[in-house]
Amino acid sequence: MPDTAMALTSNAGRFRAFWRQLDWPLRVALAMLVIFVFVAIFGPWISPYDPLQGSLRARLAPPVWQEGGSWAHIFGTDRLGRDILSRIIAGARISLTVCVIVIALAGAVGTAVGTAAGYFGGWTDRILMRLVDLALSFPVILLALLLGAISGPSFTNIIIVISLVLWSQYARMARGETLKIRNEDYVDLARTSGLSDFRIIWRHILPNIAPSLIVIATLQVGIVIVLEASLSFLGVGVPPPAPSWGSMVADGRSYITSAWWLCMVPGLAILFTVMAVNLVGDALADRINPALRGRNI
Amino acid sequence: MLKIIATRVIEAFIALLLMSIVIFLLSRLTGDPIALLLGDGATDADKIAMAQELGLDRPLPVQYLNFLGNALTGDFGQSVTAGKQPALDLVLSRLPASLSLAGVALIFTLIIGIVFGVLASVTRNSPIDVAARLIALVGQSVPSFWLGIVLMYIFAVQLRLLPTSGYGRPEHYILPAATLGLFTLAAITRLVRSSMLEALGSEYIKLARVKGLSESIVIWKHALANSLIPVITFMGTFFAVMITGAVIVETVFSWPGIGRLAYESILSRDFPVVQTVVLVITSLFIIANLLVDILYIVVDPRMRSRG
Amino acid sequence: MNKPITGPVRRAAFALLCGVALTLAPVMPAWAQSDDLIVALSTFSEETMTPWGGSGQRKTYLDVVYEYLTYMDPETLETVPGLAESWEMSPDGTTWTFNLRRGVQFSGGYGEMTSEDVAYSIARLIREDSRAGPASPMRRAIASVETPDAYTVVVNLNFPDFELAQGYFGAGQQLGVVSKKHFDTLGEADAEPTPIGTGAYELGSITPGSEIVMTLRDDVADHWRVSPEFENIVFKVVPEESTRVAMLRTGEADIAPIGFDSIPTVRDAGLDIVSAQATWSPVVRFGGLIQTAENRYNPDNPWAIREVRQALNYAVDKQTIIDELFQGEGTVASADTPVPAWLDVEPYPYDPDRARELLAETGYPDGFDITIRTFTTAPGAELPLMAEAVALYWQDIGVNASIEPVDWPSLRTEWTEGRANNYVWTHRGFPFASAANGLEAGFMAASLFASFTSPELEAMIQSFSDEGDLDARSQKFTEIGQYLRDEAAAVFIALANEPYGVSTKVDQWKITTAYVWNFDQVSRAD
Repeated sequence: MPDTAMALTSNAGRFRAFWRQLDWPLRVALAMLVIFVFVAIFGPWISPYDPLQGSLRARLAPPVWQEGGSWAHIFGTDRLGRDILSRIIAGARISLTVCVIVIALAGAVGTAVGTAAGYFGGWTDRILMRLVDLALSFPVILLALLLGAISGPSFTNIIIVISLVLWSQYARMARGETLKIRNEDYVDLARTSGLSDFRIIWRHILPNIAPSLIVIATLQVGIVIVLEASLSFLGVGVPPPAPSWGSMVADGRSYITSAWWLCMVPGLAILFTVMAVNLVGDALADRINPALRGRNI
Repeated sequence: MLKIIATRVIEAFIALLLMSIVIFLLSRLTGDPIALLLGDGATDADKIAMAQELGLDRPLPVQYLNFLGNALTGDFGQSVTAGKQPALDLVLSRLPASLSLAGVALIFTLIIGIVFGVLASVTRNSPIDVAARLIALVGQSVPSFWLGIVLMYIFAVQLRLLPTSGYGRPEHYILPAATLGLFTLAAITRLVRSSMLEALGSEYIKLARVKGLSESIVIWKHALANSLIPVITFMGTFFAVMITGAVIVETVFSWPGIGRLAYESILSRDFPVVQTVVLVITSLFIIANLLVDILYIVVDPRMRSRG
Repeated sequence: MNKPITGPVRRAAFALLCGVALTLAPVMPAWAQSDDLIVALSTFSEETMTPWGGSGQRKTYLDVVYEYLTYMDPETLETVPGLAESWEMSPDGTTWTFNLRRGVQFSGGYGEMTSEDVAYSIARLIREDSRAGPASPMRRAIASVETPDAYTVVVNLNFPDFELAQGYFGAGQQLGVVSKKHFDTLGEADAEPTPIGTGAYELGSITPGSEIVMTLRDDVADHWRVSPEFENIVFKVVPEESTRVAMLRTGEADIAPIGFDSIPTVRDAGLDIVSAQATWSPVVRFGGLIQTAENRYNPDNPWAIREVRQALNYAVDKQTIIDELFQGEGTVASADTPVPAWLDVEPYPYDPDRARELLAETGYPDGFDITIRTFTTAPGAELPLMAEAVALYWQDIGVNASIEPVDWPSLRTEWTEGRANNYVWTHRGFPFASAANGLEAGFMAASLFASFTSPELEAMIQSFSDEGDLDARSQKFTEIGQYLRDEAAAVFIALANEPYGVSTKVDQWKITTAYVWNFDQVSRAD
């Protein structure tokens, strides 16, 4: 089928053109992100060992480039003799899952609050935005600690806590963008034609503010990964034996002088992944909405 | 302007009240200090006696109203675990350590971040600019708990340049402040760099140059003054980041501040201390945001006329 | 916009570089050259200064200030005189008379220690608002305290305690003797922050949450008990184990408790390891096994059957756990408490086949699901790790364990709430203050902290408590140990040591028993 072939080459061509535009750090970052997502999705099939099964007799084996290391465990083994590479792979899956759920949840709530505040204005706006301010002034890590201490560390807790931190940013952004377009002609037109407020927001406002929200979401991926790791480090995140990168660092910290790879490998995994995410996020922000660049704090 | 500030203060009080209810309920949902305080071999009678002594046998709303009434007179109750010290005294005794660490970190990150941001923007794509962007990128990506451990290992254990931990002397501040400040440093560098770039390309800077003002005045006075506004906007957030980071950094570096106190009192279910420490931290947040708002009004002429 | 670096910018860059260089320049590491003995502890616990102000964990720093009526000889493990030179027990075990040492002076000019001070110390320790660990059983036991003269204290008990002198009144517990005059002069509130004792040290300074400095008294030329070699003992609280190890390596700490896995690194750095032998006992306890209390017994738990509990014991390779997780610092346990009398009780061997057989016989050929709750304490940072190791072994016999990390307060609350828990949890056993009270606390339904009991066991303990003949007592005590082992009252893991890293500044230091700290007896290397 020549048509398909044509389409393929043109797609490949488009990709090559796109790739050529990018500077090398961005290429590296994109490649790393692709690896991260691939590993997270296909982890169970490519993982060399069961990340939860270890042997006490093979614990604290050094990584392959260290004296005494072997190719059997490329990054060595942890305190219970579990393969660190396999745990890093499983940890990627946890990070990605948390990211996706949190960003969907916080994004949905935040966008709903923000568009409602911006669209309706008045008291709705005032009350909702005070709520946002309150959320921003709450010492969230203490809330997380309390929740964790009360109900024990759990996946649900960590999702709730991180979402509580992040929804307010969407709300602010969505409100600002909604204010900008609320009085555009096409919105007025929709209003006079008798569409319900919900439909107007859904059909006319959301699609227009979506790009900015997508940028925020990208810029937040890094924050989610670091927050999840921090909470797991403090013992209120993903419960063991599930290998969150944060709890791997926490488990390994007492070994920094004896078996440094326990805490170094997952730490570097967090660092590189988040760096890649941030680079890509910045580039995306530059393209879609340059005003957002440097504002993701 | 006064009206804005007054509204803010009232809102702050409402926020504090809400916060006190949330914290009160959360801290009492499960687990109480009695089980921890009872010695081995205690019986049911001992348990009831202790609950009475600590006032934990009364209904929750009564406990809350008691707490609130006393708090209004400055009495936040006594620590349940740390002898019978007043909770407020305990928190206040740890406050200077946290504030001085956050203060040192904030001052240094501000100075270094602004200088770095300006240098990077005027020497775009030079090695300085690349270094600034790299620091900004790494600083916003590195988890502070890991950074603290790594810095300690390199500078204290391997190079023996700095003490591993401790509190009191100037050198004790360096590693914790660096750990606490790197994220903010990165943020400030980015902010200053991007808003400087914007400002340097703007009409009024071109005008200033045309007027024949010296380059250093153009950069350090006109362009920078304009670029500081976004930094001020985010000061409240930076402060929040520092307090949040304090829980982790203070644990890693054995810093006797309120972050660690909060963590430890949550773990030991020391209700009065948990409540006090969270309220104190929240008050700090709110005061910081209030100051930022005022500063903002003072710095930005547009806001002044509006207020 | 690509301009060459302009003058002011260059100056600023230079200044910045200078600043960075200054920060990094090798400073004289003053923090590593202290002449004091620096002890890095994982916690100050309540950080209060009276014997009754909190748990026994504070004895790490309070034991250099307060002294006790009796001490234990580190070599022979015999009870030796302390502030009491001698003592007698009435034949029925209900009256104890202590004859005090003369001429022992309190610090701060509060004069000679007399029977008044001892009586006050006892009364204060058992008062209703005392936070001391053993306060409530002591309150039940002590009927009255008399002081016939300045150097004699008579203690009358409500029921016999044959071990009072080495138990509740010994150095392993919390009856540190305080100065009554100190409290009378200043009043309670003002006296409590300043510890006044008969020990060789007094409080120098305190930085809340950070540092406690104990300074050698200059008003005791020859202390009756110790001859300290350090002017100051600086106690620092360092919660992170990695930080403590780093401090040992850089010379910022001289003595610090460390985790088992840090032992090789600390040795490699040329430092010594001193271990307190068999001071605690990691164990997995079963929920809902208080057979004599209906609300705390659940016969539906698979482990309500004795053979299942035995199987769970056989399934775990305890020696490997000790070798690998505890760096060999321990021995396989047959009990949940390091008690000398129980050392002869045979532990369960590692025998997964026997475990599978027992499971099949009791109707669980395919195993079952079980929840292990775990938390960390000090010592006991290894408990979660141990839980994961135990889960791995149980997996082998088909018992599917899931691990729930919790924190100690929530677990302790559930434990003492009077319900039949349907999970097992990691815990640690400590030496008993007195055998009778230890058994009552751990294995009788009256105690909130009981973890296992049966009608036979309660009868055995009762008969032991009432026994006045010392030989018969020790016989009965051993039988109880054997019974607990045979019933598999818990999954016994190890009698573990508590390792400390010790710097080269220290010449001689030995720590022998749990809950007694002797940082005033550290000798200095030349």
